[in-house]
Amino acid sequence: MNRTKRFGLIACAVAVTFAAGAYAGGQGESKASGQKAKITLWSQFADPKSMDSGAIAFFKALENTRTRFPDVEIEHVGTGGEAYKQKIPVAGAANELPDMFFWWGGGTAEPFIKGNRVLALNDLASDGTLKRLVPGTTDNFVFGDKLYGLPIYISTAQLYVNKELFLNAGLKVPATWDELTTAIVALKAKGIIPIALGAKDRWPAMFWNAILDIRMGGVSAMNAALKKTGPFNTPEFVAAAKKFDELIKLGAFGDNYMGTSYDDSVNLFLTGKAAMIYMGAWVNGQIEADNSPVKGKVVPINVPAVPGGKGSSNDWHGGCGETFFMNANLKNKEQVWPVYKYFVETMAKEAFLAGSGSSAWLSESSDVAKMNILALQIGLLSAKATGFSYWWDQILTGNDTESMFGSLMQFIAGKSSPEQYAQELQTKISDRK
Amino acid sequence: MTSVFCDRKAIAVFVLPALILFLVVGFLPIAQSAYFSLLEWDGIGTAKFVGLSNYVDVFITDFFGIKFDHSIVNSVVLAILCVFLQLPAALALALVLASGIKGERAYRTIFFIPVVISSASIGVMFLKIYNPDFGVLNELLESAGLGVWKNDWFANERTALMSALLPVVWQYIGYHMLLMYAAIKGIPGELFEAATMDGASPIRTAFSITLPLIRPILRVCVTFAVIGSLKFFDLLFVMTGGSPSPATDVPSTLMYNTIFTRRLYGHGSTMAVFLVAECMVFYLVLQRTLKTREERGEERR
Amino acid sequence: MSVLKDRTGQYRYVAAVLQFLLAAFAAVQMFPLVWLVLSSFKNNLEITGANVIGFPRQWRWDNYRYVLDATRLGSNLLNSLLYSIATVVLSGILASMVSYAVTRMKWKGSGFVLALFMTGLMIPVHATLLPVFIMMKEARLLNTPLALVIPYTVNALPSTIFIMAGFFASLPREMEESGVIDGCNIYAVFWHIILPLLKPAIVTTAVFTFLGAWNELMFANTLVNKENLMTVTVAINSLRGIHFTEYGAIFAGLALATFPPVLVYALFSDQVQKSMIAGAIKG
Repeated sequence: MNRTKRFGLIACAVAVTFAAGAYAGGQGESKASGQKAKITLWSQFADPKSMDSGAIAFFKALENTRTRFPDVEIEHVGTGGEAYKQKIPVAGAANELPDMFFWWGGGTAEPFIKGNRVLALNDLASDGTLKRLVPGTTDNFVFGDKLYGLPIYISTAQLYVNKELFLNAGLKVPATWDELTTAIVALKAKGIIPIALGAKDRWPAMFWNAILDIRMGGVSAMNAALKKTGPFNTPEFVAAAKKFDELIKLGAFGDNYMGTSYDDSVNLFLTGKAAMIYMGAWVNGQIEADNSPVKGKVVPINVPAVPGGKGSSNDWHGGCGETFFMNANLKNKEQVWPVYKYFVETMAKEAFLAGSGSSAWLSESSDVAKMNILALQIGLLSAKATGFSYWWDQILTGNDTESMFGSLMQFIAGKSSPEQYAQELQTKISDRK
Repeated sequence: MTSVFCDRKAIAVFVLPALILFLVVGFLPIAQSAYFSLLEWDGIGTAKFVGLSNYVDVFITDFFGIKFDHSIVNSVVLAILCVFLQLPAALALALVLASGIKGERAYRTIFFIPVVISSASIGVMFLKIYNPDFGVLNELLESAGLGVWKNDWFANERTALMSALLPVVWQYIGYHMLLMYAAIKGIPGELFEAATMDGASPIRTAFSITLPLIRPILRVCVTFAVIGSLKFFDLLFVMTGGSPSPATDVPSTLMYNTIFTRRLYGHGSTMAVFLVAECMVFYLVLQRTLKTREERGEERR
Repeated sequence: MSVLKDRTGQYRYVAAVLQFLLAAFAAVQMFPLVWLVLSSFKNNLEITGANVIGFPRQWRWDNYRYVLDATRLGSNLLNSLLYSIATVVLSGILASMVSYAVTRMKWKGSGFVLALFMTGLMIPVHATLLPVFIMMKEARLLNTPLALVIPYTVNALPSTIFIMAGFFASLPREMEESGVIDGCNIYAVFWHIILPLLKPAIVTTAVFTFLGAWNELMFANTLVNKENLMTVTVAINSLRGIHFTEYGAIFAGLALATFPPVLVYALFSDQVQKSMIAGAIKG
């Protein structure tokens, strides 16, 4: 084929691409003709086959909602992983957000609230919806006195213990802090990593810091510090940092925790190389999966109360932090509201059934026979909860979170003292309102 | 004859479409970033004009502990490694492959493979190699009896930077090799035949004929290697999982973190402006020092 | 054009050593691809720690089934191909014109324009995401192929121009001058003489541009929100969860997604060789 002909062919291909593009673009721009109202929905659940319990709940809820509202077309675009956290803010900046989108409450929602991108739900929710929620579950979605999102499920973090490894080491499942430290020493002597920690991804270390702070200072002091109504450099929090340091020096997390990622740490626990892991309930599915080497061998427990701490073992690290926001520019919010309400409540229910956590909506008891046993056990434990404090990296703004992580990583690498660490948090976070 | 080469209308036709497209879609955003660098903005809400205070904070005060200056050092280390390790390796490969060795086609394809495979896979692969608990590197050392050298490669500050940079250097060897290979292939065959007839050894030919003739492309490669290193992002982002850590941060990953995670658009744009300026300086320095004889001759004329 | 003539025993020995070193290096270069394919058959536990290198205990074809079910991989591959090819063609045309005008034509602004394009080499793309997004929104091009092809082309222009300018520097002027003497105008000279000579550069830059567009994630993720316009990198990335990632399926997707670029490269690097011989003979 001579050059001119080949070039002509390529030019045609390019022209066709552009034409197709313009056509597709045209389709996108025009509203769907016909009677169906359309709702655009974005979420981070992109894989309909995912075993992640949040994803299972989401897709079930989507299906049920579509059946329940046949006159509404819900167009869903899912974006997986961290990429979602990039997509939404960019769309938010250009005011190109969809009608409904999944996001987190607390500090991470602040830019959208301040930028008037999301709808306040007070008027809409005064139709009795609020009474159907478990008290306290909307805390992270209220700014000023306006509610911006409905809660879905209550996540919790708990200490998962491999009973078999404990039994083989002649240990009983720890109920007190001393029993925990004894177990750590004994397990380490046997060459087992006592507690799996994926510090490379930073937030698992934050989890430990948070629960120790809650144990030493109590839930209200923790929440006050996170909301900047209270300090971070209290003696209790310094004591908590010291306890964290003690655990590290005791070898509780093994030698390589700094280079171990979150996935690695879960793997260590699942393959029996580590005896415990302090993690959110999303791992329930993996632990009880059919191919899991530790299926049936794990029991979740509260992190024991720390001697000298103001908090009790019924203070919980967790809460409601995930929600769906509605676009502030919605023209037909009264029509979208029932769909939105139904969707969130259904997802909460399905999440509970999938073992992701308890629903934030009061409901009649459901069929628990097929539920994940760990989820059931956690449900029983958390029924006695005296307070909740949510994940730091959600309540704090993005910037504060990064500052916190920077100081935290220095601290657990042994580069700063507990006092210095607490002071850094105070300076970088609390003092900057 | 010269009038043909000065045909103004033709010049406009040749240059304007690309120029306009580039100015609007490529240049304008950078100008906007320069404007953002004077603001305090979270990317969504209202912005506050703060003049040059972002620059002061990024380079001097560093209130948030971002440590941008340290990341610049890291990127310069990467640039040095690339110029002195990656490019010579690529050159050697290109010379050998272009000389008509057996299996040239197969090797040419194989050597380029790391460039083709997305950084996502290569990044995950190297993380598995460096993993302290069950990584390939530690297991190999253990089985070779060198267990005492086992390390937490990425987390240990002394080894972190080199561990992170070596995959980067390795990944793009094939890229530069292809450029040099294409350039070598462009040298007319008669020159080589004349050299061998005169009894020149392959090494002598390489130094006296090949290298001088592909100098312009070598300059392109050095420029890409240096500027690419200063701006490098992909593989390092995958390997650090987006989590900043002073030992392995480079300016681009910090800028990404500052803009998209910290939501400090002002600070992030400051870093962007700095990167552009830094690359420009290096570019001009390289252009100056690597001029070909012909160009120097033209200037003297 | 073989430099390593098999004349003396010394050369033969050197050739053998070289072959050995090349083969060893080739093994190193192939390793990631082999690892990728092997991993695409493993389950999550093996990938994250139990069996990192080494053959899968069980060949999980399920991973491939998973990724084909969970994403519309066929349509995504087609989209990626379309965007990448469009970018290659557009940037190739524009860049060859500009680099020719800037290096071979005589006009006052040539140095300035070249320098302007070279600033494009220095732009950190992530900083331009938001401005470009807003631009595409104002131009009503969001969610169309052009939303990606235009930024990709602009990203490809500086390096392509730079490489082509480098090739031009090595090209002797006699050919163009003889063309002009024969009575060609500048367009004819460009079309009939320059482009064939530039072929190795065109082909080489085509490979780089294709790869850049194919593997790009950030813009593809943000500028296009319709499932039927999604690229393959976005589709595979969507298999990542925040707390749980199906690595086996991701690797299966990556393995499938790697073959088009490898194919493109294998075909095109052949072109480099062929076009060079053709060009030299014509001279």
